[in-house]
Amino acid sequence: MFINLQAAYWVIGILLVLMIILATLTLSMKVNKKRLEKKEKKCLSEFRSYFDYLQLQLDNADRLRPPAKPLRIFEKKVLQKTLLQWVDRLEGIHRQKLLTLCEDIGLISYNRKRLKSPWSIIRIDAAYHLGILRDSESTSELLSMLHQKKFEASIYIIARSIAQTSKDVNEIKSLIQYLVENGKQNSHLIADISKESYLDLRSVYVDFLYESQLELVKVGLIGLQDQVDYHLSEDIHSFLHSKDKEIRILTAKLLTSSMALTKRDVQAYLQFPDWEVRQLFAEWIGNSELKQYAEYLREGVQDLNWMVSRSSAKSLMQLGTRGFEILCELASGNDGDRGREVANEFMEEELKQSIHRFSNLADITEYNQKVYIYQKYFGKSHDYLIKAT
Amino acid sequence: MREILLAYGIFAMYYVITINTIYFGIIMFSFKRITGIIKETFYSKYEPLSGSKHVPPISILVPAFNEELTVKENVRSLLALHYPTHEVIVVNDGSSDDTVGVLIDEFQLKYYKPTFIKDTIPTAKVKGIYYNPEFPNLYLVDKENGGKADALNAGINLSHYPLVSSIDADSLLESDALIRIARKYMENPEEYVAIGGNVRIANGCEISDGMVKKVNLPKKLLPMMQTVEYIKAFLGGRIGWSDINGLIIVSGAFGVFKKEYIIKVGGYRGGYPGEDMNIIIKLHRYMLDNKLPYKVDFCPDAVCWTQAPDTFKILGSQRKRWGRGNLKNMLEEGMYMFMRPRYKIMGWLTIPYNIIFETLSPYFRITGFLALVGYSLLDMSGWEIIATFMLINVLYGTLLGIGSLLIEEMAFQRYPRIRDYFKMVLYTVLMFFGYRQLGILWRFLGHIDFMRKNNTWGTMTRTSWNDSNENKQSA
Amino acid sequence: MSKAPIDSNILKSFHHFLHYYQASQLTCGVIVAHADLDQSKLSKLKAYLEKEEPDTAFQINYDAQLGILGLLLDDCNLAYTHFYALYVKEFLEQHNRLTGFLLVGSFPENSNDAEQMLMNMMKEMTESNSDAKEIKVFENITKKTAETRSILIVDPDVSVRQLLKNYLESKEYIVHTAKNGKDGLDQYKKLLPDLVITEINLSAIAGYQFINELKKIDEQSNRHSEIIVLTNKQMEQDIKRTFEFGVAEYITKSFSLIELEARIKRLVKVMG
Repeated sequence: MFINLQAAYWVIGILLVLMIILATLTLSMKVNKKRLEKKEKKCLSEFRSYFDYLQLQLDNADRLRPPAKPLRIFEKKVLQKTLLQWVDRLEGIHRQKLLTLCEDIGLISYNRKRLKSPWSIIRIDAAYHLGILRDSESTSELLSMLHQKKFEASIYIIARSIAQTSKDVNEIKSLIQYLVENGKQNSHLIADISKESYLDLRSVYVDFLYESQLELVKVGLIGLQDQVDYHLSEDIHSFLHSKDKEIRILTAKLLTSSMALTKRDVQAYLQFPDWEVRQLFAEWIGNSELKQYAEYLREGVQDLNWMVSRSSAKSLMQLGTRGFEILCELASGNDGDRGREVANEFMEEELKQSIHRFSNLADITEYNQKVYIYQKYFGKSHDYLIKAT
Repeated sequence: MREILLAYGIFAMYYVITINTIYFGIIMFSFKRITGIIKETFYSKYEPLSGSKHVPPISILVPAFNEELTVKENVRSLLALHYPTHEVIVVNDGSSDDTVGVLIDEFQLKYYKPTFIKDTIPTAKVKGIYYNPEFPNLYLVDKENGGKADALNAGINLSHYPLVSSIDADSLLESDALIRIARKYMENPEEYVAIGGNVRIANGCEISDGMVKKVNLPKKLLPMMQTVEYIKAFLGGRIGWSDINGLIIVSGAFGVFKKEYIIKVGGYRGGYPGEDMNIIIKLHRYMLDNKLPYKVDFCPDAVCWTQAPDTFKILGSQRKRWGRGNLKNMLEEGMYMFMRPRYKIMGWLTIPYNIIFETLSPYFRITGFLALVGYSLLDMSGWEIIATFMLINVLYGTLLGIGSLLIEEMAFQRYPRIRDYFKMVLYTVLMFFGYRQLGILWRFLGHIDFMRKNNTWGTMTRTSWNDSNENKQSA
Repeated sequence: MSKAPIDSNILKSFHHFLHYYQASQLTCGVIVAHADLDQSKLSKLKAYLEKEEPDTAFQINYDAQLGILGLLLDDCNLAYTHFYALYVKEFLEQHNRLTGFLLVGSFPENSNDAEQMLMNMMKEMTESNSDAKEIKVFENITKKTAETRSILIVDPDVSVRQLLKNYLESKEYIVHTAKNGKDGLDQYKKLLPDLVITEINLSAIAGYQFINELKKIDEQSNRHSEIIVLTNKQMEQDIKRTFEFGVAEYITKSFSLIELEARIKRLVKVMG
């Protein structure tokens, strides 16, 4: 028959052995972890006074001193854990002092050595820490590590470290190019990573705008949004005619954040074919309280896309009495039925809300004015009058 | 006669061995992926990322049906997720209790006419939308009863963002769960259509303020069984399946989806349970039909804690629903993908595995068991063979459980105590003496329900998080 | 207490040194410690210190009656004196002779009167009943302002809480911490601090709800706390929204302690 008991016993044996191996492995990992935890706790309590010293003397001009006694590897690791957490959270002179201390303790040389480890997990650990340590001398090694590695999720860990350590704009540029070429539509993640760099990447982003690869253009557009005082050149507008929808949206975002727009631009973009772009501009007018564009939002409220329509109405709410009057006009049906309901909802919402937020005379004056406008269109309403108390 | 019975019984045994062997292969894929997961888990900076403007915004959809006890805490903790931009959309699916009232009180929501909800996907009638400008990222949709899928569809209709996340109203997300999934998504936003989170059992844990404060193993038998069952299914199973892009389900308790494609496949299917599996199969099918590159993934470090049923009655009804939903999904979608080359790994492996070894398993196992019983009644001479095979199956299953526990230990360590490990191993073994068989029976009963067209949500009783906590303390 | 600190032989033996430093405006560091020593241990300590930091000249004296050890370090600023105290502590701990806390100070950083400083340090040694075995930095009483401002820090990140607490405490603020919105709210009700520094990504109660609740409490009790948001969130909407909520400052992480303190100072002054 189709059974061989002998073979079955063998299978049982093998299964049992495998089970024991796996269980032993798990248990030894558990025990080991417990032991390390205990050791770390003890080590931390030994360092407590030292950490107090560091924190209290952070402000002093003096160089922070490494612990007096020679450190074992384990102690270095424990110190590294705490110190790098501080480095990560702080900026300015304090971070600089802590970084100098880390170097004095030998953390940089320790991690550089580990970067050459045969184990990929140790290399990643070292790369991660060298990034926080801002060790610019490791950048080239990190770059070659990046290029050798199969493109998988941990690539981004190395990439972040390169962005943190690099002193050379061109390195960052080639890093971004590498990530774009090998990754898939990861421009937002790349932008987040390049933000780690302390270098001025403006020129890199501008260069990217003229690349043929769309992903690079996107990285450029996203990156430039963070450049506060960057003067955009006129041809940025041409990206709004790109074939790629995301590029059009990103361009609109960049334009609104730069504020370099003429009246005609704004009017045109509020009628843009992509609803996302229309919505962006409608929201922007409200958030930046650009009262001069209130009139343009009238059509926005009548937009066939509900998101644009609501965003426009919401922006009108933020544009003072003129915005409010436009809402009233729309709600009264003077401009037809499109957008009427939305306008009505926001108009009433505005009245309801502002009745609760009087804090000074100006608020009351504005409220009264709004009620006055309201009555012009809808007749007397006792719900909204401020009652004499 | 005797020979036939024995032969069939042995065939059923081989059937189970085959299941375990396939599972073993899947676990190997899980192990292959584990170092990558460890790296991502420990060396990604989630705190800065949870405030970065480069992270995509997400709409969280919370279908709620008679959740007045838990919904308040739950919404509070969802609003408090550490994430750059997200909105929470609670959809009340015609509850008969005061789910709506509880939320209105807590967040001082005001009624709005449902003018701004669009009917992108048709749903049952929406009665109103509740909102408070002081909490601009919270919406409550009140609609007539239409089932969980219908509620999710209504949430999609209102959602403002291109990513949606479905979350059960009785589960708790860890505060970095969403950002962990988002980071994965950002690596390849073009291809990811769905990413699931890891579901863990919260029974026995210390919970307050909508957060799991201390992780403990459940004290009761059934939740304990489900704990090891979930670890095996999620860590051993889903990591491996996702590695070969053959994941057939993203748990309804917590997953993130690209809205565009959910709408393209017509939204969630109502009328039957198992809408979470259904949407994933539909996504696979749509993407493969249109030859679009895509990925369905699983993110084991994004954790959602859920309350497991702790009575036979509720667990049985849950499993019957799963059985019914699974059968429906296989008849409606699976059949058309079965062994069809265009559906690649789905067509060759995932769907056949699910049809032959999941959907049909009650029939093989029950008949095989009956054959062996019949055989033993006639003649006991083959007992040694039967016992050997049974032992192999138990050991094989246990090995898979132990392998999953090793994955847990390598990457997550939620249960650090050594005592807990032994307890989990014990229950992994115990699972094969009663619990597993019961599960198969329930699945079979679910199929019978399907034939009878019984389509209710099933018994759904919930206790408040706080209550279960108090019970635990007094126990 | 058999003896007043004024009679201590530490004061007597250091007297003319201090006088000299004072007169010539030279820097010196002082360490005093609760310790239980005998002559042999004392000379061991001396040898240990000479070996570990050979470049530092010091005077050492032990008051057996008070159980206080005194060290006077030549040409040492506060930072170094503090560091040096780590050696002293280590030695005393290793030999199990540390019986209380250590106090470090430096002239002229901590006081413009060297003798007065030692006097006050001795006083603090004998009067304080803290028995924590830690190193404290001497704070000159004359420096202390009559009313100290209280600050509540709400942040889920333990490193941020720790760094801020220590830093701001060294700047003479009273600092309390909470790790989530709910805890923060409870503490706020209890303490009613002058200033709250909060993250927006909070658990249990989200940041916005938390700030909202603070405002409500302020309204009911007719008082006012300034709020500084210190957050990972970089979005413009968040900045706009928090200012609408009446928040005074919005600072993103990572942050500079110096900048943060300057802003705190300005706010506190405005509150004056």
